[in-house]
Parts: sequence; C-alpha cells; structure tokens
Amino acid sequence: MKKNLNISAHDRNRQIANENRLHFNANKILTLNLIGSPGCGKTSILEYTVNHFDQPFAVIVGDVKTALDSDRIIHSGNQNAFAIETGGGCHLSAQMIQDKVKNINLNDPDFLFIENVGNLVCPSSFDLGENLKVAILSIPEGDEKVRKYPALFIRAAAVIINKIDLLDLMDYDIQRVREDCRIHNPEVQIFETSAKTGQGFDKWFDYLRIQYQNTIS
Amino acid sequence: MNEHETIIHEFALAEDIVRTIGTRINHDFENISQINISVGSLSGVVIDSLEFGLQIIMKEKKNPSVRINIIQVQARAQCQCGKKYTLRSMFDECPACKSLQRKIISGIDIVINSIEIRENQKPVKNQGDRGGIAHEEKS
Repeated sequence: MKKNLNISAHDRNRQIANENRLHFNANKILTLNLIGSPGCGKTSILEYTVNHFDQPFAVIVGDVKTALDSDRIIHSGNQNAFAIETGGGCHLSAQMIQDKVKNINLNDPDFLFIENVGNLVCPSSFDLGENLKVAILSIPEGDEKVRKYPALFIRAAAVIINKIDLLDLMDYDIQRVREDCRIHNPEVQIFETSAKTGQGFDKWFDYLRIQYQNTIS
Repeated sequence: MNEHETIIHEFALAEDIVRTIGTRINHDFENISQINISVGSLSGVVIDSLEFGLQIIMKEKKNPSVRINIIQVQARAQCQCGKKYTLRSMFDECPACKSLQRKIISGIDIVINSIEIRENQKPVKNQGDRGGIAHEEKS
C-alpha cells in the first residue's frame, strides 16, 4: 500500500524555525543568520559592530568546538554573546537555537546576529527562524564562491564582501562576483566592507536600521 | 536531541525525514517497504550520503531491508520575461529572451513523496459497519 506524504524533509526544522521567528518578532528582535566560510571575517564584522553600531544586539555563535568566537565578542565590549558548540556538526538547526534561547537572557536587544558554523553548504538549507540570511564572502577566498555554492546565494537577502581593503592586492574580479550574486537573486543587497578599516560599514548599518524599521517597528 | 542530529548535513536531514514519517504512521517503521524521496538539483544534498543516513537510521528502527528510492529533480526558474524553464546549470540563460535575471522556483528542496507499507503485516479490519463501504487508500 502506498501512502502519499508530499512533505518537505525540512518541514520539522521549519516548524521549529517558525516558532523561533514568532518568538523573536514578539520580542521585537530582528534576527540575522550570518553564513560564510571559516576565516571570512564573520566574528570580526561583529567585533567592529560592537563598537560602531548604535542599536543594542545579541550574538549567538555556532562553532564545532570552543567558545573562542563568542569570547571575542565579549572582549570587544558586548556581554550578550553566547556560544553553541555543535560537537562535530556542520550547521546550526532551529532546535539548537530554540534550546539555547530558552536558557539565556538576551537582554532585550533590537538585533540577534546568529553566526553560523563556518561552512557554505549545510547552514544554507537550515532555517533558524531568522528574518534575513546574510552570506559573507572575503577577498582572499577567491571570486568563484558564488558560482560554487549556489544554494546559499539563492537564499541570501544580503551579501557582504569582506576584507575589501585587500582588493588591490589580490586577483579578484569583484564585478563578476556582484553579477553572479544577482543571477542567483536579482534583489540581493551587496555590501563591501573591511572589518579592519571600517570601510563600507556605514551602508551596512543603514541597511540594518532600515530592515529593523520595516520589519519590527 | 538525537546523537545523529549534529553529525553531518545529510544525517540531520535523514533524521528529520524518519521523524516526519514516524508521525504519519504511528512510528510503525518495521512495515515500511520503500521510502520515495525527491531531491532538488540545487538542494546541496549528496544523494548517496542521504541514502546511507536513511539506511543506518532505518536499521536502528529494526527495518534493515527498506528500499530507499531517491530521485533527483532538475531545478526550474522563472525569467523576468515570465518564461519558466529548466536549469541544467545555474548559468543557463532564459531560452526565450537570453536573460539571466530570473528567480529559482523549484529544485532547492527535498521532498518525502510517499512511503510503501507491507500490507500482509497489517491486521485485517472490517470497516463495513458504517454504510457498508470499506475505506481504501489510493495506491
């Protein structure tokens, strides 16, 4: 006997993600899921944000091992940083976020940045309950990442190209990267930043404020 | 949280697939003869790994003989001109207007289409009492 189901394999994760989203929206928190390779500067971007952004935010950092990255956020001056150690897992799931949020006090932030496990493949298909998925690239990684990892760039509302201060030193075709991003998602917003020099962060922060106003306020 | 959940992408998906199926069949895993799944060509899922994960989990559910049938579904896009077309590569342009400005409309998801259940294992019930018509599921 055949039993038709026609259910997405992501259905269970999506249900929990939707619960998370309702919880965050009810608490007036705009949530961003930051996805990028190891070493692209996800934590450095958040460190810069601690000292230069005027709205309160919390951070949850997923890493395979250690709380080194959430410690970096705390040391840069934001105590609302928490670690999830996946213990081998290549991505965060909605359940992990729900379990974590139940056990911590986010201290009423405007934003929650979830720094996913450094990986361009697995995190892209697991909704955590975020309002926006943000892909983070960096100049030294090379200009083919958008072509190689389409699943992330189809879903990302925004792309940050970090370490832009190295552009002149590297053989990196930034126009090609911009075009590739727009092929995957014609409405994508692209930002070019350097967490070292602060270049480009004004536009990124403006984008965050507008998203907050449009979604939460 | 199950110990598999965090291992790899495809294992986490396989766990969710088995859990989802379990809720639809009252966790009677032993009588499933086949699981039919379609995987979008842009889902980022390695079919062999997903199949391997499902086999291991179904073995734990005391059903090592289940057939896992996974088919790949080509992604589809809709161009800004309105034309819908199949994407063999991410950089296939619209066959009508040659544009690359389009939205992906399918091929990024993994769908549990159906399962097949061994009927000889099921107790025979007489359902003819109400109106005399036995309910049968479509096969």
